[in-house]
Amino acid sequence: MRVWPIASGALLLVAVSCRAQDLEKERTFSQPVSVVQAAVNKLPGGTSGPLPILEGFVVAGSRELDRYQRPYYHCAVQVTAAASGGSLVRVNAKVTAWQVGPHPGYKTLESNGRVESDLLERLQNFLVGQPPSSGTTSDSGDPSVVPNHPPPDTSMISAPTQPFPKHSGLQLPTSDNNAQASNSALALEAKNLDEILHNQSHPTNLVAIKQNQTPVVQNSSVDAKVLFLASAEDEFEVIESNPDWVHVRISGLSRGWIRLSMVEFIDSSRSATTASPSTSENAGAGHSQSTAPFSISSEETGNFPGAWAALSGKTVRIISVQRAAGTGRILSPENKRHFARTVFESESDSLPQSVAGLVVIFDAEDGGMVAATRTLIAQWKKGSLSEQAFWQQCFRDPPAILGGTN
Amino acid sequence: MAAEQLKKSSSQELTQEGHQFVAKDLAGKRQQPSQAAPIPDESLQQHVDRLRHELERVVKPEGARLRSAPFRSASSLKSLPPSSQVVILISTPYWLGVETETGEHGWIHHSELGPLP
Repeated sequence: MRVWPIASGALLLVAVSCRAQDLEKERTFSQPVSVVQAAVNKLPGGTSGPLPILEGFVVAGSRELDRYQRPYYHCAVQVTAAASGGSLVRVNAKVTAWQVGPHPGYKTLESNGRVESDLLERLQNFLVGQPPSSGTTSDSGDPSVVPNHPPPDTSMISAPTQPFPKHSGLQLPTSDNNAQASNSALALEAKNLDEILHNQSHPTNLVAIKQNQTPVVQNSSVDAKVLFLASAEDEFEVIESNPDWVHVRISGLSRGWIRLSMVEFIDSSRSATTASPSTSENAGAGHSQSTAPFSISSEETGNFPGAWAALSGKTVRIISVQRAAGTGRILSPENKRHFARTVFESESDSLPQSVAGLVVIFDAEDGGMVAATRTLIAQWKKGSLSEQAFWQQCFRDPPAILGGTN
Repeated sequence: MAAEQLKKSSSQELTQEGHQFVAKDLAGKRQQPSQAAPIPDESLQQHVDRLRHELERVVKPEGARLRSAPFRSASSLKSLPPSSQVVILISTPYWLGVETETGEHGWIHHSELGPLP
């Protein structure tokens, strides 16, 4: 459970001069911890759910909010015993949203405190509004029972903030509605998490250092200048390799070389070069990985990044690939067509319905993009479209990226 | 140790034969959605909890350095306090590319993070 570093004394000072802008993240209640915790567990509207908009809920100006969609909040609520008796409730809200644009993905935005403040307000209302239980007090021992307590001293509590979205449950819904809202929020959270997991990247073009004090040098010679000493388990992106050295990216435009014997390869990039360099030229992705000239560097789902009416403005699966390290030359259009074919064949089966097509981006100086709609891929896979016609109808940028398709 | 378990799990996923140089092919990529698929008899809450435990990590009591690249001498972008949470966006055998609670992106070594409570 996360705890925000707000001092209780400061909170009291803020609470006394309460205004709508005084958004709090913790509040003291007169009820004991077990009662307040039970109320949190049963809180109408729950502690997470979608937000209708971001404006007013996150720190203003921290990001361009119009770039975000599907905002969602999740509150971590901590209930502890207050020094003065009663309970201290701390709330930490995590606001996330889907960022559209060239680098789509879920982003975390800094809450401005309104979500936390509203939850505390709902909790107060819930505690005050609970019907009395026959003969039940906070000493009943049943943590699920929330007794009817007198309202807390209002001088300790900030003024109600602006109304929270409907789904937050300020209207104290019935238990059925409450369960539905809770389920709906959970389902949305599951969907968001599924999407983050699906978009999680696993780079395949890295080397890891085996031992501490491994020199990273300026060029591939024994007397080269040492740039710095790498530690065990440091990882570097491979640019190319030869039988003795690995050329790596340090950061930005900075490069270095490491002795091959000092690193372990994390993927198959090395075998594409040092194991059988002569075979990589003609190998496509459908061949064994040890000879594949490309490797996938990232996968994501986002808006189609090109200018093609068939996919313009639509959601697509974007697969970025890099030349496997050490091929030592620019790869041919045939290599790219081989690889794109394999990607289209293998990835199209697992596309969610919300995705309108597949895009393969060759991330290299001679790279480019090939895209196809899911309909086009389906026709080609069924055989109702010849391979030649398929490539002709695909989006190709530049047009000659796959060579002659006639 | 949780970080060790994580490292082991991640390494198996990426290399499947310890830390030897092994292919990570398209089929390997497609394993990701199935990891997120609900397990039979799993409740929605259990599913969400499982995903959160898979995707989120907590900074250990010693704190952590958010770095610009996945190596120890890379520049430090920020010090993350103990118990702060991060979301894993990129996973490698030894490092995690993460997003912090306040939206910064960077790299943290596995050993500096633990699982959600």
